[in-house]
Amino acid sequence: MRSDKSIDYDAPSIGDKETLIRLLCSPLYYDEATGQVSIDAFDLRMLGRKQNQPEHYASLGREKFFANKEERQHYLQVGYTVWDDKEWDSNRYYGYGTFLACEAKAISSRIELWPLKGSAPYHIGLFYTASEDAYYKGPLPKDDTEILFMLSELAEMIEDNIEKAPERELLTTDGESL
Amino acid sequence: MCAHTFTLDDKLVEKISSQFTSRESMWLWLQRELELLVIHHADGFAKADVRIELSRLSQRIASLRQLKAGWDGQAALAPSPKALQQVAMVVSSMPEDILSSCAIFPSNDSCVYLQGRFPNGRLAAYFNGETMTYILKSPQEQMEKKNVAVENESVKQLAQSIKQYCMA
Repeated sequence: MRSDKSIDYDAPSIGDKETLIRLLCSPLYYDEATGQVSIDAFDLRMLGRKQNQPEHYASLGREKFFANKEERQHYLQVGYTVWDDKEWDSNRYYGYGTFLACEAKAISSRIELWPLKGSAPYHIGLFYTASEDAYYKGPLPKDDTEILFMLSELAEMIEDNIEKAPERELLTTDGESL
Repeated sequence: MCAHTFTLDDKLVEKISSQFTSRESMWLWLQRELELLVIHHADGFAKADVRIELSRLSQRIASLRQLKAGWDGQAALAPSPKALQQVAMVVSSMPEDILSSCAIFPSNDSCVYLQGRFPNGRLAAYFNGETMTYILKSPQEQMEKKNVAVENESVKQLAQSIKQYCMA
């Protein structure tokens, strides 16, 4: 039985027609000259400065949980917080791409979308099944053509729906706008 | 954009090359210094063509060489020099019309991607410093090659397949 401690199995599942958001937290995830999104944009990464935390899932936002433009705008600011504040540079967070849940699921049977334990309802995870009893952890083996194909299809899926990041807001330590 | 070709005479090449330990390092230096000029050998002569797309991608490779570990804001590894060398070799062998649809990206595990968005298809290539793995997608053909050696013959074959299936 495949399971992951991050998944909230009791939460309602994600609807096929839901619009989801993937933040492209680096300008290196998008090439303006050719309009292409990097294959790396949906890869699972190593987290933490010491590479000791492999990512289990790619983080996504759920459009339907943003009650208004301000809430959505607030979520889109998360792209800035991935970076170390000391090295902060307004050009680093490129923007975000949107897509429907069913578009991602249609790409590969390895792709699963799950609500996350202890997370805000608008934050979900895109998981990749590795076997009958396990999910992949980052980074994915891209020299496997099936994996390379899946990641390239995910990148292509959002290419024509990329929006530039909103201007950075100054936030309080509680995440509230100043 | 026009492509201009001119020839460097042997004396000039000799004079320039005497400043370097090898011909290869000289060509690398010239590519870096002369922004729009990409040097290559043909018929025993050194020629310089203005290759805008190759220049764009060469500059991209040069900028990726500057990336440090943690470039993704987390624990991504810096692109390996070998992987960058591989992708540089591939793009230097591709014609301008193919390159105009190509982009190069770093991978968080020290490897490099070459991606193409052509009029009639796509390329997704992954360079790990030893070999390349790629997928070519078009309505007529889907080609998957795993762990291919990056050498003249395989690159030529890739360029031919792109032309045949993705540019038609």
